Amino acid sequence: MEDNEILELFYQHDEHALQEIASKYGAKLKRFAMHFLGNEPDAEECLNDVYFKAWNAIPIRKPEHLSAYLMQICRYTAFSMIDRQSAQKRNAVLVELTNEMEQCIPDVSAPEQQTELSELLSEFLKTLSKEKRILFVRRYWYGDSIREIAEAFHWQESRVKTNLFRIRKKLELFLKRKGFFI
Amino acid sequence: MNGKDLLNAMTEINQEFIEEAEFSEIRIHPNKKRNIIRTVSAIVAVAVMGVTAGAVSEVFTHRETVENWLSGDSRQQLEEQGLVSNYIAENEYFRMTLETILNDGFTLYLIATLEPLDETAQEFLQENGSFTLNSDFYDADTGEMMHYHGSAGFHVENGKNLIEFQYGIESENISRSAEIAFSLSEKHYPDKNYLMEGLTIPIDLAPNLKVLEFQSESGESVYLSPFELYSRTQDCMTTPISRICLVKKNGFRIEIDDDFELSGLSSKGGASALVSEESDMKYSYLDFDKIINIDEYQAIEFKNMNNNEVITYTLKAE
Repeated sequence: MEDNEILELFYQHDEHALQEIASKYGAKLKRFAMHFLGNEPDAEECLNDVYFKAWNAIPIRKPEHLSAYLMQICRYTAFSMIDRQSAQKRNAVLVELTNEMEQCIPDVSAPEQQTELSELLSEFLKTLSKEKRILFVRRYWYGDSIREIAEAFHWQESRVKTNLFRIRKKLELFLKRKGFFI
Repeated sequence: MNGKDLLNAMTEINQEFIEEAEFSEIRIHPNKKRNIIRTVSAIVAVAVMGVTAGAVSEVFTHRETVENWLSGDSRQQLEEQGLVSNYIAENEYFRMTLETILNDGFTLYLIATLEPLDETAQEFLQENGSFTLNSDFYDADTGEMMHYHGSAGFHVENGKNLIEFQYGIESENISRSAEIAFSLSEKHYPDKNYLMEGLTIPIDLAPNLKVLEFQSESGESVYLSPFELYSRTQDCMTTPISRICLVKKNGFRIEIDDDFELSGLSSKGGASALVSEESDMKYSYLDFDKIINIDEYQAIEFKNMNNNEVITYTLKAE
């Protein structure tokens, strides 16, 4: 079923909508959740949460890109689950990505405005070439490892790291110039 | 705010970018593979002619690489030109070797290698694959602190520990000599600043690269250096730009997004201006990801995003 047809089922509050997204996107969403959560029970729980949230949100939000929207809900949910977990269960992938992102933040305080920050990030991503943008999104949105990215790009891992480092520097400068940091 | 906030904020980025990254296959553009031999030959030829020109920063990152490609005389000439440096700064923890200095009078771009000298330094590098260094500029004569925009960052490339520095140069500082002192962020690396104590690099802020001026009919100027395009006034660059072309003397046009990586802020989304905090000067710049031979170009075209008007800047006669 096409995405616009599935969305129509959501708008009509037809429960077949959930069956359709489970059928079309369930495997992908579960793999994505597993990547961050690291175990199947948590991934299943995350997936059920995604379906529940999608059922409530889609009729209101009317997303243009269903796949990306579901992935966003999945990412949000997975991160929230990780937050709730104890310190012993700290996710290695997230710790590594968080540490890298820290380098984009200078030694000044910043307002806690996530919406504004998301918009700025989108604006920043527009300034990148397609290749660099995909590189950045694969690393910091999809959480791909350096090795996975290197294989997909047919690059050496060192080249991936160097490029990510330069993009992070640009992001820091971009946020400073936009006055995001006070 | 911390890195986690940034990572969380990534969730709500434009959905098109999420889908773009999911479905696209990346193909490496064959032309993007750097031709080191050609570039080094150009540098050697230029050095012999006695004209300063662009140097390939990555060629000079490793001294052994330089000596593989250049004869001792050539390397010496380039050293005299200030393009290759072997200055070493050292404390008990690190040895920093300044390999390359590129200065077009607008941006100072340096590359150094960093070697750990003891276990403490080694551990620090192993724990931190990449990090930003704070850098302060001091007038070499007066000790007065100078103001610079820019940053220095450490990362590992091809097994070498590199620091890349990029700073904006205020025109009034060009005649000065300076010392750069480094420190680590207290916020990110509390109690680690002792590792960088005493590491300073002396630097002459006079330009060592040739720069060409291009002028529009209305008299506004942009400048082309081997590694960037810049303007010191806001007049042209604050117009939203949809396309920039460098026009070669043979008439061939190179659109910047095709052949060069547009790593500045002035891409399809429009140009941006950076205001110096210390002065009223506004400037914009686009830095390239590869070094170009500026003598090949006769004009630069900017296409106005709003009305599609093409504004041409032609090479100003010397």
